[in-house]
Amino acid sequence: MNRHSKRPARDADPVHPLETLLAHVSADSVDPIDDAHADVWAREVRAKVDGQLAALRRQLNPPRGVARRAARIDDELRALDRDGLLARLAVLRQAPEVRIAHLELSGLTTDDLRQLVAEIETERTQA
Amino acid sequence: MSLDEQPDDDSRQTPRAPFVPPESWIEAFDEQCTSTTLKRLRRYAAMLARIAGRDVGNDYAEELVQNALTDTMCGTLRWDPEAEGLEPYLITVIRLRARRDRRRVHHYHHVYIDAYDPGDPAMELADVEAALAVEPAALTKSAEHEDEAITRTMTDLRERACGDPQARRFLNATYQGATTKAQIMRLAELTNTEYHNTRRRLARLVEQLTADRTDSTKED
Repeated sequence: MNRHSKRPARDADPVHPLETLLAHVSADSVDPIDDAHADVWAREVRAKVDGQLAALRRQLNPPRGVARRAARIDDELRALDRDGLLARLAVLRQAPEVRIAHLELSGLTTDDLRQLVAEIETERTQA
Repeated sequence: MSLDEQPDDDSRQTPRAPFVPPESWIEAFDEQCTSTTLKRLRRYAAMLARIAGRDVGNDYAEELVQNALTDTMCGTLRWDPEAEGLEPYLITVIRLRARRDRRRVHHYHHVYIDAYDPGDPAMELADVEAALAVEPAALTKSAEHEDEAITRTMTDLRERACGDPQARRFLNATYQGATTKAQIMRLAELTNTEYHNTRRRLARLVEQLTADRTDSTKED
């Protein structure tokens, strides 16, 4: 993660002994009333953090359904019959990143095969 | 520039790419951003504000922590989980931002610009601008003023801890450059239990000192 490897420029602002001391003594709460308030505050902050982390995760993992719905079947693919589609699928399956969950392709209709080929080709184009 | 924050001017001129950290970064943040850490950061920010004589309540401390978290999650601050834990990183962020705020408070006069009345000839905008203007030398003076205030606070603490040899050794260790628990224990010659007990006694002294200062400010 080289892009994020920079650290705060501490040398330019050396830590003062008092700041060090406070960093240590702040580990313990000495005010039970304030601590109760802090509990409520911390829960609210954590809820906001959860929302922001969820948004970051969504950026990393966009819903796969969107890509599948976007797979477009072009005229060339539409013109292929079942044997043509199976032959095209056989070529696609030689690529190491292509894995097909269907063990028995004979169980798929011609339209299913056409959709499958379209989805694989769309994903490979986007990758 | 401290803290590797993106300069404001740059962010206005060129739109930045969205911050997309890897899954490992998100997992590390998720795991380390605990309630205990949040409460400790809040206490630290509040202590930094109060020890400098600023009676700003908890709102300032909470805002400081919240902003540090948000800026880390949106990539304005660049935290590297492989280099450092989240809590020590945010402690540094809060320390430097609180210091920046203290200096700003000192070298900018408090001018009520929201009360400016353009219809009042006695209240010229030029007067407000003049009050807000900062002499270049004032920046140096504010840093010197802060150093004096912090040194005075440490002197007060040392006096209050005069009957507590372990607390004095703890304070001396921070003056000798110790920052971590291990360094303080070594320099102050404290066992683990003595370190924790001394830390709690010092926490109470800091609270008393802060309370006394707040009281004397109110009396003034």
